[in-house]
Amino acid sequence: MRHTAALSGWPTHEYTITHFGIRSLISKVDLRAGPGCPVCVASPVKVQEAVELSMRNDVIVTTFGDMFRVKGTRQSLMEAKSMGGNVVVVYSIWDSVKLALNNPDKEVVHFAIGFETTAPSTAAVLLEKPPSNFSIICTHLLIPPVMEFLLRLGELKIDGFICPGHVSTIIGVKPYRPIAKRFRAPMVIAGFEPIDVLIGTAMLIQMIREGHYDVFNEYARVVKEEGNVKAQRMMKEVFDIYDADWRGIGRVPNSGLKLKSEFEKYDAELKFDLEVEESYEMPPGCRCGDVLRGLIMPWECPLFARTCNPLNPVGPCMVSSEGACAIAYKHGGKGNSL
Amino acid sequence: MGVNVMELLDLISKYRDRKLAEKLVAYINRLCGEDRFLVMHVCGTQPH
Repeated sequence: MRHTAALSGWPTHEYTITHFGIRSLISKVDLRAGPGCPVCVASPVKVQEAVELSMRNDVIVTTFGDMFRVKGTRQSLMEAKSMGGNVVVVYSIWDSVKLALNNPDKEVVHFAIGFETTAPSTAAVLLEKPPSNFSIICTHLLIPPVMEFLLRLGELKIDGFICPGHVSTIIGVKPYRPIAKRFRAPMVIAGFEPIDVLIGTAMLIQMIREGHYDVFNEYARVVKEEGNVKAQRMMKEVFDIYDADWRGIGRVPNSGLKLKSEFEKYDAELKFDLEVEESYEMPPGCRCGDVLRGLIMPWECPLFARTCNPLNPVGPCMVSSEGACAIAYKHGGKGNSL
Repeated sequence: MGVNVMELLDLISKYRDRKLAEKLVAYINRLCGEDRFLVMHVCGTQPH
C-alpha cells in the first residue's frame, strides 16, 4: 500500500478503497459503493425547484459547491447562473443566514442537502429562528432506510455492509442492529483511514463466516453507541420523516426529512408557488442508477471516461468529487493499486 | 498467522502502519479462502 498525507477531497470509504488500491489487495472481497454521496442521490425535482427560484429577481439561492453542477429535471444551478440566475455557493448554511440578514429586501433560499451528517446543522439554524426572508429546500435523506431498501430489493446478494463513520457519529450504532438481524447482513461501522477499512473488512468477513448478524463499531474512537444525542434531539424537534425520492434508486420508505408544521414558514416549497415537472430520466447511456445501487462498478458504464468525465460529467456520480465515478476516474479503478 | 482482529483494534492508533496493513490483508485473504464476499459501503459524505 502507498501512503500519502495529501488527501484531496474528503476521505470517504470509496476514496480510501480506490486511492489506496485496497480492492487489488483483497480480491476475494467485492467492495461495492452504495448510495451516496448525497449530491448523487439528490432529487432532480428539488434541484429544478432551486433552479426556478434562482431565476426570480427577488430570490438568492445558496448551495454547497458540489451541488452546483448537478442537473435538475432540466438544468443545473450552474446553468441557471449562466442564464442570469442568482446562485451563491456557500460553505455552511450559516453563510446563507448571514446573506439573508445582509439582504433584507431579498428572499434567500438554501438548498439543504446531506444525510444525518448535515441535517443537525440545518435543524440548529432553524431552532435559532433565522430571519423571515430565509428558507430552505429540504433535501435531507437518511441512511439506514436506504440500506434496508436495497436489502429488501434483493437485486444484489449483499453479504455485509461497511457503515459510514460520519453518519454513525450522529445516529450511533442502534439504528443498524434490527436491519442486520432481520436481513442476516452483518455490519461494521468503520473509519476512513486505510487501516480502518481493512480492520472493518476483516471484522465483517469474520462475522459473515461465524453467522454473527450484528453491528460492530470499529470507529469507536469517534462513534458512540447512542450517537450524538443532542443532534438527534434537534433533528426530532425540527423534522418529520417521509418517503423520499432518491435519484437513480426511486422512492424509499421513511428515508427523507421534511420540516414539521411549526417550521413550515422556512419551507421554500410552501413559501413559493413552484411548478416543476416531476418526470425525470437519467441521461441516455448513463448508468449512475446502477452504480448507486451497487449493481455495476463505474468503469462498467459505457460512458465512463469516454463522454463522461469530471470536466464534462453526464451523470451525478461524476459531478461530485465524492461520487463513485469521479473517484474512480481521478484515483484509478478496476482494482488497480496506484 | 494467528492474528486476532480484536487485538488489532488496540493498534488502531497506527493508522498507516504498513506491516499492520500487510497482516490485515493476509488475514482477510485467509478468511476468504476460495469464497467471494460482496460487501457494500454506504458513503454518507457531507457535501462541501
